[in-house]
Amino acid sequence: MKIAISACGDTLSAKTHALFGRCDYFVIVDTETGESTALKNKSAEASTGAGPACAQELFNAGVTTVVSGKIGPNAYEALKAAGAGIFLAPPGITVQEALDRFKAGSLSEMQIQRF
Amino acid sequence: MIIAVASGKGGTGKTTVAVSLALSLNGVQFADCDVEEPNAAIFLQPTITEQIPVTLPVPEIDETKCSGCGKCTDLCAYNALIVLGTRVLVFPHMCHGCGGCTIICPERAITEKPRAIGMIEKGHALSIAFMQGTLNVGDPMATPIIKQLRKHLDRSKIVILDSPPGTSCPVIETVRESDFCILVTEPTPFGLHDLQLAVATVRELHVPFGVIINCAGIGDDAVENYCRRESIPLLMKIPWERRIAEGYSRGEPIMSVMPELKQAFINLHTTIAAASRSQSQTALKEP
Ligand code: SF4
Ligand code: SF4
Repeated sequence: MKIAISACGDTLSAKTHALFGRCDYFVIVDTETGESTALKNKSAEASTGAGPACAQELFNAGVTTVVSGKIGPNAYEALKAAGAGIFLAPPGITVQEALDRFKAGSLSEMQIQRF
Repeated sequence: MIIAVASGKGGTGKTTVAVSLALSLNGVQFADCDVEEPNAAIFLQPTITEQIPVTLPVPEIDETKCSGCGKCTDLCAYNALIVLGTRVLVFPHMCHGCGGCTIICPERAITEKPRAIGMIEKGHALSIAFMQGTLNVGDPMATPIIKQLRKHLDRSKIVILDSPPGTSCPVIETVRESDFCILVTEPTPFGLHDLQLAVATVRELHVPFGVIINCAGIGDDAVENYCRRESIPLLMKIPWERRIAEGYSRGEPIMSVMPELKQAFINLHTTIAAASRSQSQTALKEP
């Protein structure tokens, strides 16, 4: 399973980024092999639609689980349509910590309330 | 001649100025371009005779034809659609209706379906040919409505555009290609700050402009000093008076409260016509 964590840098020791569509990098970890790669967020500066564009990139990269601080409604819809699991990480921790907490099952899954 | 009335922030009296100018001149065309909150009609009380819906052509995907090639999503500058396998997800509110994805799709899987975003209303108020654009509540696509409004402008008349406040895309769409822009401000530190942003925008658009200070008498001299320093024509000062505010709250144009201002607005138009000619000449002379 590939998991993507929104981050301020391109390594496991980087801090997680609070925003999904506007983060600097996604650190992608393959939980089977333990291998990690970084994907630069090309849409961080996009005027509109950064969230869906990121969802597209991650879908293309084979990611099925996303960890971030805040996910907008468009990104949420896109990720859900892509079948991805969405988990929320508290701010200020590193990518490695977020990964550990995810594996330990202590991150909460994001649910959006529909009005 | 097209005169846009704008301001760096809302609530400075922009509509008051636009309406007063329209009521002081004969046979003008007035277009309320503040499509998120058009309110000139409150003061002009127009009779509406025509309503034209405004729509954007938004893609609809036939998934049985889609091959998932991703060409549409690569093309779209607004990230309004994404391709998940052979499933395409469209975000209609983000689509600007450019039609590009329909053209580029090699499988002809895309057709366009109109999405209503608002409407244009036309009518008249006394001798004024009135128009207003209204954006559906909560819709982000203000600029396309203003683009549609522009198509109905009658350049043989004096045209007055009541711009949205601020300096964003809808403002630029309103002010660009105008012959003159009136910037309305209040003589306060906030007013000055927003005026400076508006001045930068209008200069960028190369539209000749001048400033009207509303509620003169409150605040300080900073706006006047700024205009002098920057050689920006100060076109008019509208005094702060209780009867104006009271009239405003009843939806009465300033003109019916202070008829003596009518001549000032007629003079304003004469000044603008002259300034527009000389400023555009200076602009031409600049290297
Ligand atoms: S019509 Fe233009 S803006 Fe709309 S989805 Fe297609 S390419 Fe994007
Ligand atoms: S361009 Fe056409 S075929 Fe290709 S992904 Fe888009 S809708 Fe499908």
